Amino acid sequence: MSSDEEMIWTEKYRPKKLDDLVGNDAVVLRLKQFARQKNMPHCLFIGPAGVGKTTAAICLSRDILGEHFREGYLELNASSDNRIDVVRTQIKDYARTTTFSGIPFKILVLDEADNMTPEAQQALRRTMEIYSNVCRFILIANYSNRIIEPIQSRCAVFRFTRLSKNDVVERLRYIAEQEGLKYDREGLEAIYDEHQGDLRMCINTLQSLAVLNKKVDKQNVLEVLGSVYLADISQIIDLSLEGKFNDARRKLQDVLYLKAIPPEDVVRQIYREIVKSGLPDKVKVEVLGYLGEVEFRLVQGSDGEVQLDALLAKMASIKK
Amino acid sequence: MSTAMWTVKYAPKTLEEFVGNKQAKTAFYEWLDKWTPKNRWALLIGPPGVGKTTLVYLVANTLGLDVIEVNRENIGVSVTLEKLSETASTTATLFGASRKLILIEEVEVTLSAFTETERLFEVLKNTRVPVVFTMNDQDALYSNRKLYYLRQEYCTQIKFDRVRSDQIQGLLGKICRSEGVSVEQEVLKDIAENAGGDLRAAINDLQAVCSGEQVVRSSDINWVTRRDTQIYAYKTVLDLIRSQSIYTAKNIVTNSVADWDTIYAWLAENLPAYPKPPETIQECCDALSKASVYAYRADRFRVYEQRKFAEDFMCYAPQLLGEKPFRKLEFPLRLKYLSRSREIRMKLNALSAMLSDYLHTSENSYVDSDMPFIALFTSVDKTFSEWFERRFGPEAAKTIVRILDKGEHTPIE
Repeated sequence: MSSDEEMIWTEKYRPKKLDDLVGNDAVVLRLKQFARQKNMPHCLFIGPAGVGKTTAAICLSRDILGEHFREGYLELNASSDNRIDVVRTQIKDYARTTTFSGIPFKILVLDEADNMTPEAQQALRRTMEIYSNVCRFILIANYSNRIIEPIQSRCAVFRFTRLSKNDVVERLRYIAEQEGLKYDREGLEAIYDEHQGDLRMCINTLQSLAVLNKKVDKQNVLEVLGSVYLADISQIIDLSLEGKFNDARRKLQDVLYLKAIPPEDVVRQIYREIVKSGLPDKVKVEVLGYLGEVEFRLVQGSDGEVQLDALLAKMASIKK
Repeated sequence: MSTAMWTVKYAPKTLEEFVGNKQAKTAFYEWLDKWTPKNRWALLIGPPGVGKTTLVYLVANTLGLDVIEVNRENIGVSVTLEKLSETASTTATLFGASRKLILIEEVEVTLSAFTETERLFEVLKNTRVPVVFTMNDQDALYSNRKLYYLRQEYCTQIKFDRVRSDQIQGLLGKICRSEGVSVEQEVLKDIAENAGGDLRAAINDLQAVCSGEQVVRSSDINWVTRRDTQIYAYKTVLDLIRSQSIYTAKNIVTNSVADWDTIYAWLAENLPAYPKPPETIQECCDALSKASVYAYRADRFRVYEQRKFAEDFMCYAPQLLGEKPFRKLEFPLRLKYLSRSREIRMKLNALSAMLSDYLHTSENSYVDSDMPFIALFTSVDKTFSEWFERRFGPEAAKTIVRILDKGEHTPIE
C-alpha cells in the first residue's frame, strides 16, 4: 500500500464522475447534459445531508473542467466563511479573475449556503451576475427557504432526495466487496436504518467495523455505533428515566468535567438516543420539548450543567 | 459552442425584444429620453427576475449613456461618495465626455451598511445626470427610514409586475427554436407557470431541462427543478396525517421535496379542522405552535440545531388527533392570500408613512393613531375627502376608507 493512498473511505469511495453517482437519477441526468454541453446556469442544490450534493458538484465540475479542475475549481464552506467580507473579497476576487485557456469558465461551489447570513447572500447577487461569463456558482443547501428569493431567481434549482435503501445497501455491498469484508445483508440494512439513508455516515460506520476487524452483521453494527456514540450518555438517560437522578447527575459531571465534552454535544447525543429509543411518542415528545429549550438556553450562553441537571430531573419525574 | 448562460445569451438586445412590463418600459424610456436635471431620480420597483437592471442598461445603451453602477460590493470600496458626487455634478454636455447615468442597484441592500447614506442622497439631490435606483422590496420604502428620500416627489416611481406566464412561454419557445431543441408546448407552459412570473428563473429552468436534448416531451420530463413545491406538499401532508408515529412522520418529511414552511402551512390549515374535542385540538395546536417557535429561533437566532425540534413537534401534531375520518385537504388560506395581504399592508404602510410625515407622528400603528379618525372624516365629510385626495393623491384616498371597511377582511376568490 502506498503511503499517500486515501485512508478515509468516504473520500476513497467518493464518486469521481457523474456516471458513478448513486441515486437521484433524474437530477444526475440533467447534470450530465451540462457536462456534455460544457455549459450550465448557476445552480442551487437542495437536499438533506449525505445524499451526494457536494459530490455531484465536484463531479460536474470535474467533468466540465477536465484536467484544469485544480485551477478552475474553488469550494468554500459558507458556514465557516459566512461573513460578508468573505463575499466581498474572497469570492469576488476568485470570480472576477479571468479564466485560463482551455476551460469555459471557473466553478465556485458554496457549500452550506443556507448558513450564510441574508446580508452575505444579498452581497452575492450582483457578483453572480457581473462575473457570470468567467465564473459559475453552485450553491448547496439543506433548506431552500433560507436562500433569499433573488438568489434562487439566479439559479436553476435542483432538489435532491433521500437515497433509497436499495441504493445505499448496494453501495455498501460494493465497498465491502472491494475491501474484502465479511458481511451479511441484514448487517448492511442495519447500517442504513441507523442513519436513515445518510450515505456518508453509513460508510463511516462500515469503516469502523473494518478497523475493528468485525463482521458486518446486525449485532456488531449496533455495538459499534454504541461505542462511537458515548455509552455514558445512554447510561445517563437510563438512570434518569429510572428516577435515579443523583447517579445520573454524577455521571453527567464526569462527562462534562472529566471527559470535557461540551454541553451542546451532550444535548446532541441525548437527542439521538431519545429519538432512537423505544419510549412511547408521548414521553419522547415531553423529553424532546424540554431538550429543545435546554439547547436554546445553552446557545444563548447560560450555565451548561444546570440546564442539563434540570433536564435529567425532568426525565426522572416523567411517569411512564 | 457558446458557453454563455442562457439568461445572458438571450437577454434582450433591443427594446422591442424586452418581454413583459410594457408600461414600465415605456415610462422609463420616456423618463430617461426627456431627462433634465429637474427630473432627478427614478426608482424601479419590482420582484426579482423581471428585468429592472436589464432595462436600465438597455435604455441607457440605446440613448448612448454610460452606466456607473453602484452595488453592495463596490459601494465605499471602488465607488466612494467623492467619486459619485463628482460624477453627479459633471455636466453632461462637456465636450468629449460621454453622458453618464448613475445606477444604484438594489438600493435597500446596497445602502444597508453604508454609513454616509444621508450625505449621498443630499449630493444626489442636485444631480446633473440621471440617477436610477432599483429595489425588490417595496415594504422597505416605507419601513426603512434611510429610504425616506425615495418617497419624495422628485423621485419618479416605476413599478414592475411579475411577467405573465404566456409571455414567458412565448420567449421560452423562441429560445428553444434558436437552440434547435424541439420542446412540447405543455413543457414550456409548465416551466413558465412554475417560475411564478420570474422570467430569469424560467430561463434558468429551461436551460436545466432542455440543454443537450433534441426533443423534450412532457412525458419524459422528470421535474427536478420545481420551484413551487405545493403539489408535493399535498401528498406529503396526506401521508403525514395518515402516519401512526413520529418516526414514520419524520421519514415522510425528510423524503419529501416540499419545503418545511409549506408543509407547516398545510398542517396548520387542516389539522385544527378535524372534528375532535377542544382539548385534543388544543394539544395539537400546541405542538404546532412549539414547532413554529423552534423554527423561528433557528432562523432568527441562527441556531440551526433547533430545526430538528421544530420538525419533531410538527410530526407529533397529527399523531395527537388519533384516529381521523377522511377529510379533503384545504389549500392554506395564508398562502392563498399571501400576495394580497402583502399588497394591502404595503398600501397601508405607504399611507401611514405619508401621514406621519405630514402630522409629525410615528408610523408604527394603524389602529392606535390618527388614521381611523381621518378615515372617518373622509367617509362622512365630502369637503374633507376632496381635500384629502388633492393633498395625498387618489391612491391614498382609496386606501384610507378601507380602514373602516369591514368587508376588506372577508376572503375574495
